[in-house]
Amino acid sequence: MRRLLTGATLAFALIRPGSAQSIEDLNIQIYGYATQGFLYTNYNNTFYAMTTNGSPAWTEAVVNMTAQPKSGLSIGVQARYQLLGASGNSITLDWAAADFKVNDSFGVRVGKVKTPWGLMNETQDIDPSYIWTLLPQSVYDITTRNADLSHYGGLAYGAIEPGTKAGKFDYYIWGGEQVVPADDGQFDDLNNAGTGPTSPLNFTTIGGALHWRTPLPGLMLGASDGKENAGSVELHGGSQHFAPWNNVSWFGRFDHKKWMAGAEWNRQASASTLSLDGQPSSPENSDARGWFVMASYKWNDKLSLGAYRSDYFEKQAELGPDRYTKDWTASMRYDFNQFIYLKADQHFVKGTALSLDSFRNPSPHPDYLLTAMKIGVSF
Amino acid sequence: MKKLLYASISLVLAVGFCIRTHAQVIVVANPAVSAGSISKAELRDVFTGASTSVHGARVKPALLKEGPAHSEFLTNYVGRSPVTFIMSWRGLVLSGQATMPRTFDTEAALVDYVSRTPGAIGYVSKSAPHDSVKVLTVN
Repeated sequence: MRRLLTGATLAFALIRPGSAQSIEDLNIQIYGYATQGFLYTNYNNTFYAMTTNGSPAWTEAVVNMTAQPKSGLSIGVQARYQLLGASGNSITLDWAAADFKVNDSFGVRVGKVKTPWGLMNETQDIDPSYIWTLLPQSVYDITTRNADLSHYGGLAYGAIEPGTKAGKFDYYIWGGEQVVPADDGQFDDLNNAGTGPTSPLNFTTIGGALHWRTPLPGLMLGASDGKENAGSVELHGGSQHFAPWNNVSWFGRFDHKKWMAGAEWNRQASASTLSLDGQPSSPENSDARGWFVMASYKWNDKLSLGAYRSDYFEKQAELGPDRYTKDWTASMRYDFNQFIYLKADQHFVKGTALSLDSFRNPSPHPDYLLTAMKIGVSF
Repeated sequence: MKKLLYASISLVLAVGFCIRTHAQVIVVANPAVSAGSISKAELRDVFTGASTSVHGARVKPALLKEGPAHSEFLTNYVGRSPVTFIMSWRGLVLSGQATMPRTFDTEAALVDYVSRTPGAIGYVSKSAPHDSVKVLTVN
């Protein structure tokens, strides 16, 4: 059904009644990027890799092609190769969509589309677009992002300007189905224990977001809420039933000359029941809350510096370092030119709630340092 | 010796002034574009992908690849450096939110495109030939 939707969308967009078009008229564009990262931790192995030894197992390559068959209509497809530790190492479809923008007030995008919740979800996997080597993991956890990035379905969007002095409101309304492969990294612990999902995790999603571009130039304030419904998931040797849950974010961003500041608060609370063969059903409840504040400064045309504080709490966990992850991060990005850049982060992490699988961390250390570096080429 | 020093300082200032005022960028549009002027905020929105219309009419931004007019336009009207500008457009393009505006190696090529493309809007240095396009006043 999903393949049908995506294929039909692209075919419909490509087929135009009437005259043939030249390649130039179609404005076919090809863009992409590739990055190679390196991770080192003094304690704990993070991101499914043996990072205490230093790990280069962090590679991404993305290529996309878009065309504009007619004014206001664009179609595109993007593929991605991703390797993160022991996860990924495959080529996947990032998005494939037809976008028709009637005017600035209304547009629709259908196919496999990016889900625009939060401050940065649409671009969280687009490395060339920000200075950070790793985004704040409290909200944009790289190990679970495949569940959040995109959905099969649609999106309506636009901008409303109620008055000249009220600024503008960008709205987004989406709905469809999200799909997480059964071998996705976030199931690493379950799969290593032999109780992983038997098939891809599919769940429906509907949601909306509002971004207020305030009258103060450069200041945007926003909120988003998505309702996710996974239903039952079949596991090897059991099943897990999820009650619907919400993904709520409040966020803001301020750009002024060479400065950028941003902040976000996110909550995802879910209730589920785990039933394993031969064992009584047990509740598996989660109330995850994450927030961050960040700032960056563009020193000159090539060098950018930044820092953020990122906190994550699992309110349902027992007291102790498993309940939280607190991260102070200092970042730099150096653009050699418009195509090649280098990034480096130094993270000072307390707590073990995020990014540490139990398979590679039988006794996680409560405090650790994480150094992350990346070199990227974009075109 | 003093004369030489004054002459050197004058030369440096004159060269600096010439470099600073070399580009003097102007905003040009297809002659069919009805607007005769555009605000800085509208320009910023169009060239950052936040808007695709001016005064209700659809427009298509056109970019120069590099050069003094490109840098001056981005700095003065968009508020971004060339690297930051391309970084944000890559974010839009690679997340499927927009397609990259047409980009040109020379001002002559940009003027030619703007002159024959309805709704096209771009920028060139004041000294570049631009008889075939309309010059928009920036408020």
